[in-house]
Amino acid sequence: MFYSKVAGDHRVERAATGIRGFDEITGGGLPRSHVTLVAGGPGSGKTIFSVQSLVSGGIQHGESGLLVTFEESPEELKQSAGNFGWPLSVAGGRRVRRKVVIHDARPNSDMRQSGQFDLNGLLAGLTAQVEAHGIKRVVFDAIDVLLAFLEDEIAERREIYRLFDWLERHRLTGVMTAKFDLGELQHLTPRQSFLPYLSACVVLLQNRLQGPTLQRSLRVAKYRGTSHSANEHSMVIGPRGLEISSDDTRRLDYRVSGKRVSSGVKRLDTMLGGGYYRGSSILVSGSPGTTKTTLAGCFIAAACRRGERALFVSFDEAPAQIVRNLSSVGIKLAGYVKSGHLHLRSLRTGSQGPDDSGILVQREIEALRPQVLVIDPISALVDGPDAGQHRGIAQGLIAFAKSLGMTVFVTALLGNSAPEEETTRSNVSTIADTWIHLSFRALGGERNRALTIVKSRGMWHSNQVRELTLSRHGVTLADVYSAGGEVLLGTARLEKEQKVARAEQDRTAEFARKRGEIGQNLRRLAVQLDEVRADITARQAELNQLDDEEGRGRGRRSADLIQVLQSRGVEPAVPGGRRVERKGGRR
Amino acid sequence: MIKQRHGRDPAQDSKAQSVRLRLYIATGAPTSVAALTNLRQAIASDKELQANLEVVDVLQAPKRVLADRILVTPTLLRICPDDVAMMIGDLRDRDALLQFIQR
Repeated sequence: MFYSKVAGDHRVERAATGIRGFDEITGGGLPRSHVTLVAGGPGSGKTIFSVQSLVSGGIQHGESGLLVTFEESPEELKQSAGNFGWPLSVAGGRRVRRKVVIHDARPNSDMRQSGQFDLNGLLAGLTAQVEAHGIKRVVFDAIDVLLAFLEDEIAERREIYRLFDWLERHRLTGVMTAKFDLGELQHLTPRQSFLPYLSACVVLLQNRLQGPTLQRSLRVAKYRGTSHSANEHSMVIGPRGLEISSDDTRRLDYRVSGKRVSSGVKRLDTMLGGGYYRGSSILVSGSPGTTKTTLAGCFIAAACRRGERALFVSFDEAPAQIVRNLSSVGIKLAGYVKSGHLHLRSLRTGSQGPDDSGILVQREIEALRPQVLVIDPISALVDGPDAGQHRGIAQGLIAFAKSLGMTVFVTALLGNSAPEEETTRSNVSTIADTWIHLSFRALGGERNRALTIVKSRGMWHSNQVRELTLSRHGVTLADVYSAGGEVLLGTARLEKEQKVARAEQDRTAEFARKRGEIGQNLRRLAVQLDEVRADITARQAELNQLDDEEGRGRGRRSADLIQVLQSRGVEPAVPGGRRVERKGGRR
Repeated sequence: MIKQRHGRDPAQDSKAQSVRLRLYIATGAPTSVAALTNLRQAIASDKELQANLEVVDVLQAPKRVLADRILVTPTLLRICPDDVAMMIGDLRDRDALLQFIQR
């Protein structure tokens, strides 16, 4: 069956909740002027959901709210709102304050009961509140407490109708929370299903233990008059309230960039043809100790050096520890932390499930909007008792960060065999644009770190295995020496380097000798050339002398001939010399 | 608002003081009508009882509903200087009602 897109549905006007993820799932929020039932077991986040919707959806958008509490004291509610940093009162336009009014409707424990009653008393009080404060939204927190109070099913229905009727009459957007574990709606008894049946929208919250960690989820089981995402969405209660992971964050329509960013290792940049693409994702896999974190450190330090904002999320390693460890290999991060360029966040894998971790990371990303993001290791978001279910989290997170234009660098723990043979449980490799694998190569009795670029989408890259060396001055890739088709690493490389150096010395000496020899030759030839030149000069002089002598002789003979011709009355022709000569020749 | 005073000669029992009662009702609601009737009958039935009854209509005086944190109607309050006791319902059980008032 085909369902139209949620967001395009305009049949029911929405009242935003401001709860990240929820408004996306429902195409805008709660059904306005209708009732939403929020059901779930104890501690599933019902009260947080409703209070958050009053604050971040209500008063932040100019709508005052009324919080009718049947269970928690107003003090407890104020305190928990304070814990999340939610103001219960904000200034509105024209000096009108928008606020959440808490109405204490907890039944008196000493209250005695005799016979039937109705909720007119409550509603009269609420009407006064609504009129006094211009209230638009009402939350009935723990309606189950009120219902338990009504003695039979008939009274229950009658009073629920009364509540719904009151809300409708005052055009209020209502939320009722109930400690029901409704589970699947179709299995409810008629009495249980009465409230969901009347409500325009039903939100089910669930807590599930996955191993030692609590998995929270939210499902919109019903949304009258619209199609909606009825899937289960993971939810987390973070320091600023609820966050629901919606599929919306996994769009793929982000911009791509042709710009490069440095990996922080000069020679690695060369291998990649200039660095990573900005806005791409880089996966560095390898077994423990293969300098995955160090490469991450290089990358993030380079980003900070460029003046960019960077977020380094690490699992199970404290920020101070990371800074210290990286400084031992010449990567100084402390300054960038101080200057505010670098933000280090450490999460513990055990304390929350992958879902929660994913959402926590997502929130950090959103709060900080860094240009580069490092998650070390991404495996923490995948490994868990139910790896299959969480496979999408890592991918979703990477896609989300990329959609914001970030360059994402993630590390993954992998065995030492060829990466192609490894089936990464996370399947992160499919979303990594550049995949670098680090491994140990045992050769000549030592283990050396080898770096291979497994893939790099859309860029030329070296196919060579390179040795990665660590020193106090940082990371570099050693020169390449191939021998018999193997790239030499470690001692083998050193030996080869020495051999090459010796050969180089020999060659230098040979050149010097040859150079000397040729120099001598040249000098000898130069001397010879001088002699020849002198010879040429001498011969030339000789030749000139001969010409002069010949010229003078010819002049004399011509003069004699002219005299002879004149004596005979003949004009000599011009040029006379030749004619005379010819005449003379004929003679 | 209706104020009523029931009781017998106060001199006979010097310690018998007038009991302050306040009944919140929603005018017209069947349970409220029943409660008011039941309460008046109960007070009348006990000759020793001196009661000072105030009847408040929640629809007319919502501010008092807020002040007394009234959740349902009908609600009967028995007001002592140091304590307020509350009984809800149509007060159909007279024995329970009298016990509540005289406690």
